Amino acid sequence: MKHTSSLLRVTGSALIALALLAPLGPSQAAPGGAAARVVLASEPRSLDPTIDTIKTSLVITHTILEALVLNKPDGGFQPHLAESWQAVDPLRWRVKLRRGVQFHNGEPFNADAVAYTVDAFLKTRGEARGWFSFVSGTQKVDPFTIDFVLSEANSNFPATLAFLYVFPPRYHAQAAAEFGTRPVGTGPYRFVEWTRGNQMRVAANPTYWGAKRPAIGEIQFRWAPDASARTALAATGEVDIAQNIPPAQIERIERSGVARIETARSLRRAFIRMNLGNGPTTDVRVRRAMNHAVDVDTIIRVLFRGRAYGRVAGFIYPGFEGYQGDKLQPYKYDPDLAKRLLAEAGYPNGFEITFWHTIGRYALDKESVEAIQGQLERVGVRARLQGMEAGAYFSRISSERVPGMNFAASAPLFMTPMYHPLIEFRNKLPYAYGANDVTTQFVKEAIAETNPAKRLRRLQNLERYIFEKHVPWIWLWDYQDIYAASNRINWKARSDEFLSFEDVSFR
Amino acid sequence: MLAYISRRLLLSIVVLGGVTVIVSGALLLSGDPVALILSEGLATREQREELRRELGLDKPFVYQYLDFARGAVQGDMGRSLRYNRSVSAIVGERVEPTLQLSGTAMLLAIVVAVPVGILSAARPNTWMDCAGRALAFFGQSVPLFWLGIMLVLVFSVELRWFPSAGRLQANSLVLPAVTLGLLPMARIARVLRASLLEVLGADYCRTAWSKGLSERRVLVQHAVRNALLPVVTIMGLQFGALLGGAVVTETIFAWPGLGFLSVQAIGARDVPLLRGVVTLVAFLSVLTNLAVDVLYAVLDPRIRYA
Repeated sequence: MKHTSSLLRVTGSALIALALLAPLGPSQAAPGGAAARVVLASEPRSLDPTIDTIKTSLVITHTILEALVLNKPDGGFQPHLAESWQAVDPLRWRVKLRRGVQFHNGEPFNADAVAYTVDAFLKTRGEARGWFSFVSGTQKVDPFTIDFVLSEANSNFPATLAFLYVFPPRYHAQAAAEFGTRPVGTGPYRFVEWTRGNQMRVAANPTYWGAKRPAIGEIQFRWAPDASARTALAATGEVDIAQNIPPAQIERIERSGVARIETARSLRRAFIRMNLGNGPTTDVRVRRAMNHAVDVDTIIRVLFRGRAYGRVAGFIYPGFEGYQGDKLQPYKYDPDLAKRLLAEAGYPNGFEITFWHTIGRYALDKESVEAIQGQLERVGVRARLQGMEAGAYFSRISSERVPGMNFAASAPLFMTPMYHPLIEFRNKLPYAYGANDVTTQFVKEAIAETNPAKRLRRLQNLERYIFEKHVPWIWLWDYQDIYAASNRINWKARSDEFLSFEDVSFR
Repeated sequence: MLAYISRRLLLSIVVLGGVTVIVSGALLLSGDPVALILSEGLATREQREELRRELGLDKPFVYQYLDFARGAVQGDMGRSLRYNRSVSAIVGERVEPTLQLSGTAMLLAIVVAVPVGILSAARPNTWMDCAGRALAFFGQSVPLFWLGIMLVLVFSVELRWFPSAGRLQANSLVLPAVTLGLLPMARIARVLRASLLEVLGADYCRTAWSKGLSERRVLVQHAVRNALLPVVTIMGLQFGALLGGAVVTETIFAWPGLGFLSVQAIGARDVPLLRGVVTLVAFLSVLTNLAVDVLYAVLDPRIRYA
């Protein structure tokens, strides 16, 4: 038995050696409570907002770079680096800029910086391509006034400025592709360091121009694509804010004693697009029947454990200008009515239909689609599911009009009731399954209308037409964003997936 | 020997060529990167076509691949579609964490598996053997993702001994390395036990016993050395598997390595980036296999490569 103990000794010493071998990672910065630690679902690819426009990336970009207008937590927007704007004529908007603002590197913020930035957005090969395609260029009026010259009238213009993050011209030109790895802006935080995959740190900008000084000294961002890892990080108190907690993990956070759940009604709206060009769904009675056949309340209660909002109607969100509230009554679950409508349309025994959807892109997407499939079955509609990974899905449904119906869960980028109409109801656009000549004309007129009150009325008319007469979608629900927040901070979630760091404070 | 090594290295170019063809083809068949880059829906069809042209995605597959191959031969792996940075730079940042993780996991596996395997074989059908076999059985059957989550629940959430994810502290390495190391540990222990049992029954071991040698000398000098050949083979194979297992482990523990990166690259249909990662991993596997073959010759003087 002698060799047994010697083997144990060898094993033991090897394990100790192994522990010593473990090299030191970067040390944990900011001792004490000065830093807020945040875990997001994915790491930015770039902090250049022309290249990476994913919300989880913009959450960080937004602390460093600032745009001309600022979106408010519950919809709408307010002046920011722009003080005011006004349409000189339908194709020319004059924007007055804030004075006395400096970039972190000392470059001045002025009309030249804005002109440079617009040019960068127009020329980009990145994801922001197309965002400003209605702008043909800019003209400097004086150092703090700039004209945007549009190629087509666009009343939506001020809302789009929320994503025109302004670059410091000299530094951006010199850094080129590397700007995204060490950005410079005018924001409340300056970039400190980014160790790839590990963490990114930003520190309070002591000379920030805003009335509200940064409330915390430093923010540390890290990333965990796996939801159980984010939950564990929050439940152990290793982070202060964790994004995107699945409903099933809520209890773990609540039992942890160190963190709590914070939620917000998301602007991400789930709906199903139907093909208006071929198959049974060309008949509006069929499309109505589909709406009456889906029991959204049960799906929310059972599948989402109550953590979704519905049933929704129309496309203008509560809190946005023009929201019509009770004037649009959501479709009621009524399988008998659905069957009658199907019989009227000539399908007393139902039909078969293809149902395209993502797997794993949105919360419970596959499960939701399967529940809907089961409900449709009850009125005789037999849906064949075509589930795909997001990459394959988007390329498939946007490169052709796929037959049947397809699942969508999209959130507006710009805080304007125009957002969905722009993408979904203008002919020829890749996702515009619901467009016809009427909707296209409506949207065109609403875009061109510069009088805000008249524009809203046009939009509301469009919404009523789409919801009541045209019925291109099956309306479903709005999601809930679920976060974990540590008990040592005060913080509230907002509806647009950004994180409000200006209101964070330590308890 | 040198001639043999250089021939093997030349052959590895063929392997890498095959690997990159398969990766590029599979990714292109499964979805269009442009639809993902411009998924917001504000870009028109014309803008999509334009981007496709600029990225070279409008060319036939063969031309796209030849473009890549031309660059790769000169050491240029191209530019990532999504990061807008050079693939070599992005991949370079992720090599060290992965090598650190899989190296530690392998070391851990060997350090545990070798004594367990030897004890199991030296004392067959005792409680030690049973325990060793149970450990091997557990290690081979437990799924990585489940083990990782359980370790986090016990050692991070409940006991607070180790961080649950990330790579910010030195002890962040422990849980992912244990998770990743368990499977190779089980395999090595099993193979070592089996091969030792076989060797211990061989004539030369009986001779060694009958000469009156101590158990330790019989085991260490006669049996283990001869039992090592299959073990070294399995170690080489396991190293390749480790790099694969790193995809799951790195995702669970948010470990910033190649596995983590490749999951993101696949999600974005970033062909150049994924091709870079896979080429590197394939190259590492080829090198490991070569090292194993060379080790054979060192361990067994009868093996000679001409």
